[in-house]
Amino acid sequence: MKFSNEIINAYADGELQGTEKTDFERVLQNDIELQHTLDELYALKLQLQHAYKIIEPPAKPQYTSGNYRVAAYAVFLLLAFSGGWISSDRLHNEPGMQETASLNPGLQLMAEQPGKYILHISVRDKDKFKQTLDQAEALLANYENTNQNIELEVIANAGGLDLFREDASPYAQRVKHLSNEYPNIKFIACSNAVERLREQGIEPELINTVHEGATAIDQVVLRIHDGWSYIKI
Amino acid sequence: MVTFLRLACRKVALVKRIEQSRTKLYRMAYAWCHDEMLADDLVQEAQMKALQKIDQLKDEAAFDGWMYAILNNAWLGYLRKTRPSEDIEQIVISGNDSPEHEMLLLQIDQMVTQGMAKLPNAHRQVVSLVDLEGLSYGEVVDILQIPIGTVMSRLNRARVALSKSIRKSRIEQRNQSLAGFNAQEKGAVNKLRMVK
Repeated sequence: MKFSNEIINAYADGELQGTEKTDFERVLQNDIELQHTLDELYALKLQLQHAYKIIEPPAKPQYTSGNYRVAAYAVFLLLAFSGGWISSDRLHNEPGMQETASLNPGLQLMAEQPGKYILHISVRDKDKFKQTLDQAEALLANYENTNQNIELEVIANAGGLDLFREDASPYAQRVKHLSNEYPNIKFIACSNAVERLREQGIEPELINTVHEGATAIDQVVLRIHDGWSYIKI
Repeated sequence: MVTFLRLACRKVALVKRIEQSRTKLYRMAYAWCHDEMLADDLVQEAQMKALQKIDQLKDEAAFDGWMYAILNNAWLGYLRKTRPSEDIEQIVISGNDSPEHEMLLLQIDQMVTQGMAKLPNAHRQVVSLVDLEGLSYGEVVDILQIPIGTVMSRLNRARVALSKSIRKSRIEQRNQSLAGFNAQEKGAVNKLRMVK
């Protein structure tokens, strides 16, 4: 009895069951060629596992301990739930936020506290750069018009870092202008993204009002834990 | 209130799992793209997406598959952006040939990873999900959104191609070693003649 290669693979992967499996094993007992094919398959699987076992992600800077972050998030969730105000509808009840939301149809929220936002840009795209700054400016203007406090962080990683590079950004002047105009906006460059460029032999010239901070994922997680609203551009 | 607390605790646990999934995701991303920096970016993007979509995960037992599906979307998104005119399923990658990388990988591991790099993307993804992560065919179906017959045929083709590639590398290496040995022998004979 001959089995297709797909069935032999399925046996090696533990995918055969019931009579299909017992039929296969009955033939296997006396079929040297099949035994050899299976041995080769098992060897290949082991070689693959071994080859990639040594692959480890690069170390990332420690920003805060995981336990602290999780604990902070737990406290936030408990407070939020007991307060009963976690709701995606809440965004639309914020003063002036409907206009802001409409600027970015992909706007997504993880958690909300009034007036605390983190905007995240990760792609090298001139339109997205503009959208990021438009969104930031609209938020700041809305809160200023209603005399409310706002804290806003704009974080860039991967290709998005170009927005903050003096030598690459099409909006360097606008970033500087926003920094000077609004003291409550902070521009943060992801440390991983900066490090990557350095590894490639490029020393990124960051705009002087941009801070080199934690990794983007750490900063976003931290802010979400602290109850900030996360907006991905 | 009890329900709220339960939901809050569940969310906390999920956030922690997302953070802890970095190594596993990185290994998979690296197997797909063979680029350390890109793999790290893809993992970061996948983790971000997972945090955004945390409420969409209904069954916690499906967490790994859910994370790999998000990683797959990030990888396909990258391919679409960088190689819009190419067939994503057929894309092969060049691999990392830096001296540090060469040093890092053992000889046989290097043959395997080089063989993987030469596979079409669609085959590489299936074989890495099944062999590196030990996922079932059903889980791969859910992650890559392809029929089970396609999973099985891609897996078979990937393994056949990988075996051939490793075998070829071994023969080449043996021939190189033999050539080196012969050259040494010849050198030794010449020296003897000079002494004579």
